[in-house]
Amino acid sequence: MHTRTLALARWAAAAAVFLGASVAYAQAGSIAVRVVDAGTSNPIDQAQVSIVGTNLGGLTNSDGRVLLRNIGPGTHQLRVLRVGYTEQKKPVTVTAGQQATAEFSLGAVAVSLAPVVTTATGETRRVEVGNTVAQIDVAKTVEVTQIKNVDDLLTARTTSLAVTQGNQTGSGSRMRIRGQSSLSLSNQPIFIIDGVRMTSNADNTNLPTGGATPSRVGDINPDEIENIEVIKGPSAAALYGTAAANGVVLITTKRGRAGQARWTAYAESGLLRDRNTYMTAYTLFGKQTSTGQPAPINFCNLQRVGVGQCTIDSVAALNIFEEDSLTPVDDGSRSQYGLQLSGGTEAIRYFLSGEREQETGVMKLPKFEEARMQAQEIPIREWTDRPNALGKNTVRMNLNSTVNPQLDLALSSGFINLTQRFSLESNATAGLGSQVFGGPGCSICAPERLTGSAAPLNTPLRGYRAWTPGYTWQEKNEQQVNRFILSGNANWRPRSWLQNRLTIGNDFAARSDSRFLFNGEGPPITNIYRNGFKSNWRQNLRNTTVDLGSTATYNPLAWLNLKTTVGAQYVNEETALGQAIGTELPPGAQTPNGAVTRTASEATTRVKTFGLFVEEAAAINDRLFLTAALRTDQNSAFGTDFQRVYYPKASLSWLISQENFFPTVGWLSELRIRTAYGASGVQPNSNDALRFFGTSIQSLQNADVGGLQIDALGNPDLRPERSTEIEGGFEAKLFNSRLSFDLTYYNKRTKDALISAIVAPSAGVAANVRRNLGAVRNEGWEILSSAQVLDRRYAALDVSLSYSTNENELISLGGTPPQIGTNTRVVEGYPLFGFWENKILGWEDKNGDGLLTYFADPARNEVFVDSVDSFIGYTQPRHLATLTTGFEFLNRRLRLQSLFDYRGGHRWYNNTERIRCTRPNCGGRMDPNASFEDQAMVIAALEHPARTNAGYFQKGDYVRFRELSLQYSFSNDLAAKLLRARSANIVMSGRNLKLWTAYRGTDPESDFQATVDNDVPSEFQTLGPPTYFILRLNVVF
Amino acid sequence: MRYAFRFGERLKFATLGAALALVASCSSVTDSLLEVEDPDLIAPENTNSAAGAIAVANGALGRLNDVTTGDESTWLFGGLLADEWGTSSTFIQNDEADWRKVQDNNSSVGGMLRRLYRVRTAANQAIKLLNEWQPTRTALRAEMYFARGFAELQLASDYCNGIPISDGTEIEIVFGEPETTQEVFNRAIASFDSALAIVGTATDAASVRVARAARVGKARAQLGNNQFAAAATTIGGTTGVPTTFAYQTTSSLAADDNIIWNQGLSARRYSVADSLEGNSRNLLVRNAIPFFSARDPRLPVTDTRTVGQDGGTFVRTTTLYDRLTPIDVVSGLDARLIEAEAALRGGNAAQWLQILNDLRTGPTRITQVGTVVLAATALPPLTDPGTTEARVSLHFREKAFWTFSRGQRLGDLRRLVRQFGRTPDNVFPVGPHYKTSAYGTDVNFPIHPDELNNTNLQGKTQVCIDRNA
Repeated sequence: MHTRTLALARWAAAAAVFLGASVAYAQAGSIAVRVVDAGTSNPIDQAQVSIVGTNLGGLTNSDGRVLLRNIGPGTHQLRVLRVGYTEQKKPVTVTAGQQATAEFSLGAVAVSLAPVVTTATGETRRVEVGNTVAQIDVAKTVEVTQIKNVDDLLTARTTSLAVTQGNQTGSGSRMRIRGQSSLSLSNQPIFIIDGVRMTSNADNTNLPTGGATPSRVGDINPDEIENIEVIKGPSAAALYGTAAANGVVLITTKRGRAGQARWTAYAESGLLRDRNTYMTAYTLFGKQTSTGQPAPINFCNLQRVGVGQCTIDSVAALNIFEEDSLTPVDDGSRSQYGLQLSGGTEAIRYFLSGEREQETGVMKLPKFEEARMQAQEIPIREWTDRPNALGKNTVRMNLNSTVNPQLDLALSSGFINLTQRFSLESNATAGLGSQVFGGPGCSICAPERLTGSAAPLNTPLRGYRAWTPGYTWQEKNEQQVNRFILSGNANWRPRSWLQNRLTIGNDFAARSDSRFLFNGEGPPITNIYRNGFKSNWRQNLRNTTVDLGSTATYNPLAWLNLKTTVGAQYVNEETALGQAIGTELPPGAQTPNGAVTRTASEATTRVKTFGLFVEEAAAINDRLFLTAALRTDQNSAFGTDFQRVYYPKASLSWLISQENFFPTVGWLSELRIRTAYGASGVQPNSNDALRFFGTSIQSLQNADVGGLQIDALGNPDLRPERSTEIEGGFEAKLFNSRLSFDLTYYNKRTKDALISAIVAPSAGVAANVRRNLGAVRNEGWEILSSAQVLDRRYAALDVSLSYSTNENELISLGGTPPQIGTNTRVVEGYPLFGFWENKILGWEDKNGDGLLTYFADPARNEVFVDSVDSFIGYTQPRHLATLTTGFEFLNRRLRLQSLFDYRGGHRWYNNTERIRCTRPNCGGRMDPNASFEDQAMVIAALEHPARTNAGYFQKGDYVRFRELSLQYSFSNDLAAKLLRARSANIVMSGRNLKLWTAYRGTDPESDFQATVDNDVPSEFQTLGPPTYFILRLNVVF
Repeated sequence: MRYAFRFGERLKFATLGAALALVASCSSVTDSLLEVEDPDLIAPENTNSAAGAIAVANGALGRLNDVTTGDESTWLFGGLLADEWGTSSTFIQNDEADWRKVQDNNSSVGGMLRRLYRVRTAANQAIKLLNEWQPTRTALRAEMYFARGFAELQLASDYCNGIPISDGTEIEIVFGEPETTQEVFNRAIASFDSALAIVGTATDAASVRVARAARVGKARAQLGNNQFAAAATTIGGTTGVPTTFAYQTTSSLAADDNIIWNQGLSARRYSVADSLEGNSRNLLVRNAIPFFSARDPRLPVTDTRTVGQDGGTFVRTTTLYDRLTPIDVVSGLDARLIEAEAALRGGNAAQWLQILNDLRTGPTRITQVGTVVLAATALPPLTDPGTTEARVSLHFREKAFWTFSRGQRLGDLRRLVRQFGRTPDNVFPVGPHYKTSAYGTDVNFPIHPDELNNTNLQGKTQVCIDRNA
């Protein structure tokens, strides 16, 4: 390892020395630039001033000024860019040893996107980029609405990005950009923060929660972020290489601005409320026809009534969530306090931030359990009372230094410390889900139902299935993280035409997952479960990035500007896990030390990528922009027989409305057409290419011995998935830039898709082997339109609408048979992971008894099911739309902003209802008043020989009132008077306020597998998303 | 002014690009940058040693443990499909087995199938290594053949007619065609014969142990193939396999719990089945042996009247096997039962009855099954029911109590259909089921559709030749 590090250092040093040899300072002058608002004459800060055709430039300070030094004599074109203003250019003449001045008055535009985007080769004007890049102004978004994490920031903010969040506090999310391409690897985008690859994979835990799990993306504090850019596909992500095919999310944290110290304090507080409507449990009490005696609980159901095995006496119904003493949910709470400081001089600028965040989820020990435990003198610990909570501290220090006109240095450092705990839920045997959704329709049944037969377990179940929440939540599942993300960046411009950049960074997280149960506590799952256990997983996650690039700019012709970039990138991802598990603890013990059974193990993963790239960009008349690039990667996870992969890229962007031949159209302010082509990849998992044995321990003739067993077949030809994408579209600004319209078409084809090819069981080896066999197509349209409908001094109205589509198709499985899962299939000609089942063709209550019944005799049968499996629907939404409106009044001091979110064209697996019907307590099984649709669903699944789950794959379309916020900005006078502050505002906001859906389960975003990065949505004994009501105060001193 | 790109500067920049390309092409640099060591993995070459061969053999015996009591296996699932166990699990896979309505893609059944095949592959890999590195470890080499044969025996007993047998020993997998039940039993016989040939007449304890185990295994396979007399000959009487003999699978806290205890008494996902089912015990299950109601001292059963893992089914548990109780894979008891069946099939009812009654009143070893120690008078002698039909019924009932949940009952029910002329409706559980309307018609497990990835099966939609007994 040491040798390799040295080799890298030597290589980097050699490159630097080589470039340094060219440093020479000619006699130069400088340009003092001032930028002001044309309407108000107020200075504009953060305006980007640059000399066209060079790498020279800078940002204006709070006085709207910037001094550009070391400028060669002659006439230069200066360009100024600032979001919210029109771009402006003007010539400035510099004399050797003199300071020239330039003043810009920028006109405000009603609708505008950030004029600069981040690319793999550095910051670039948006108009020069041939692909669409979504940008989220995080600093502004966080101020005006309720944002608790990066997932909230990305939800419904841009086209073609579907985010499905976990519903427990602290849980992560599934993110899909422009559909799914990979059959067997993650379809999650990668994240880069301040130039450094970030640990971002979902399900970042060892805790067996059975549902919600955390993601390391969730660690990042939104209040520290300046903006986020979403690179949607290979056409834009080619230079990000072998990991970027699913998209790239670029996070840029806040920077200090030259000027006096600026203190920003904020505080928010509010509550979480579970406002979901959960299904009611039913129990049908009746007599067994053959005996005339009361049937045992759960024996009678509608089918048995229909065939005459039972007669109905009564039907009991219970909805635990609606019973005050029984419900396991109550209002949660959230608070957040932060203080930020920024400022500095032209030479050095700083941004410092610190924040404390606390959130307690909605799960709460029910009142009847509190009473029971108090009566039994059982301690109610914090995690038993509130099993889901998060506490997080974040600290950040970012420094930027302009060492001299040729050299900028930047340091970004962020530290995160968090502790979060989760309830076992959906698919955990011990979890809440199967208990709260699985019990009968009576809280007090006859005979009384008890957790166990003997003390102290003979406690009433009160409608829960096999044990009550007090038992479940005696178990603690906790994660602690200490994470340090550090990056350093140097920009060195030894010549006006040459810029070198170096970014080195490391994302290191020390994670500890702990699962603990005291001896004598917990649910009676097995004979030894209540003897206690302690599992401790300690894992280090490390991502190291070295990114080196050099860009030369030159103008061979007056109308032609060329920019050549060469670069190298090295990414080293590593995880190292050590675990200690002890079961059957002595009373009072909290460590595995005294456990009856103790096991220890470790696991390591390492993946390294080394890439080189070259890019040539041409600007013709500053209106037509052409780019061509090529990246090549080598990766430690490739097979030994595969060496390197190449990713080409090309793009065109044309400001056609600025061409002379373009007709003058009064209402058309600007029209740009663009197209891009590119390729990028997804790397195999670290050991997919290798054939290896694993260890085993077995008891042979009562002696434990170690052994070796073949674990993986390996594939020496393994190479990355390779996705190529072409996209094209146009951007138009209309009506004096009051309306913008952006249309994009994309077509992404993935070949060499990595398939977890099923190995026929008879081979007697691993169940799967990774092979590059598949081909997948994703195709769709993206429309984004923003309008400033009203723009007056006293009031304003802005509206933004986005809509995107996705058509997904598996083109080839490489000659392997369809992959047939229990409910989903991967079949050529159909979307990935589509729901497949025997369709329910219809029903008819032939005998008029008000019930649907299956009879083997076709003449009597009342539920009709197709004899063959067929495709039922997409598992991922095909249509995404958001509508954002902002209405400002009271002299624009009061802003009311709303966001509506639509997803549709897909199915959602109501797996909760499926398992409820097998318990059985669902309406379709037990309630004679249930709709025929619900009855048919159950009959088809449980009685018909086809045994189809088709009825549970329900339409997932919905419209959600995602956000509403009301922000009042104090006048400067009022802020000063009340708070001695420069400015202040107060925001009241709500999230997840209302849902309109055809889905028949709890919520079409309730998915127990979303946070484990699974592509098949399934609501399985899962709580729905809570509603947030938050009050936030922002004050600037 | 334009910034021209002077020739010298262009040259330097181009040189930089060339230098980067050179670095990239320099394999020693990139190899160094991309070098990865993963301590989790054991390369195949590590098995090429005497110690490596032993470790792979141990791993193969671990695989054998997986298909008996180390993991959820057909010993339990076969009991669900037959009449040994009832489901009290939340898993639909278990329910399907108990309902006799197993879908082809039942993931649990598919997993058990894989584990059985893995025994074969692991044993074959170990045989190759032992032959090369440990040629004198004859007993261990023979035990690998026994393990392979036992997996084949269990495959033929539990899965449908049409079982592909492939060879995954090496990197290149050689896939096989589906074979009939008879052919797979013949494979088992051949494997057991190999074991017997290797140990020959060796008298050391390890060799004798394996030889006896192989005899019982072979005889069971012969029974499966209708070779009753040959089976008895294979056993060779109490000289060939003493009644006290047992080849056992063992458990430990560090390795695995005994899965029958784990899933039964501990997790309560399996309930000892009975001819009267349902929480009110008012659902008559036709053909089912009343494992609870019979109160047979060989199978202590407690009706807990508390719910199992599914939260609804009252479970009946047995203390027959504790957490670490060794369980017989094959035994002298099995040998005697084989001899008894051969006698019955050969028309010698007296010998048949004598063998059964000797077992009921025999020496200590026979009167201890699992944790149960039987008093000498616990099992009164049986009386001859007088007819062949009744004797057959009595024999298999007797065997069911002796071999509870040891992976034999499903195969025996199938043999009752295949060899004794009974219909499935007169052998397997029939009637209303407490979790669904009625039992289905399955008499064996399907081969999971994953097997369609077998290169010999491309284009086909199912693997089984038929689903008959």
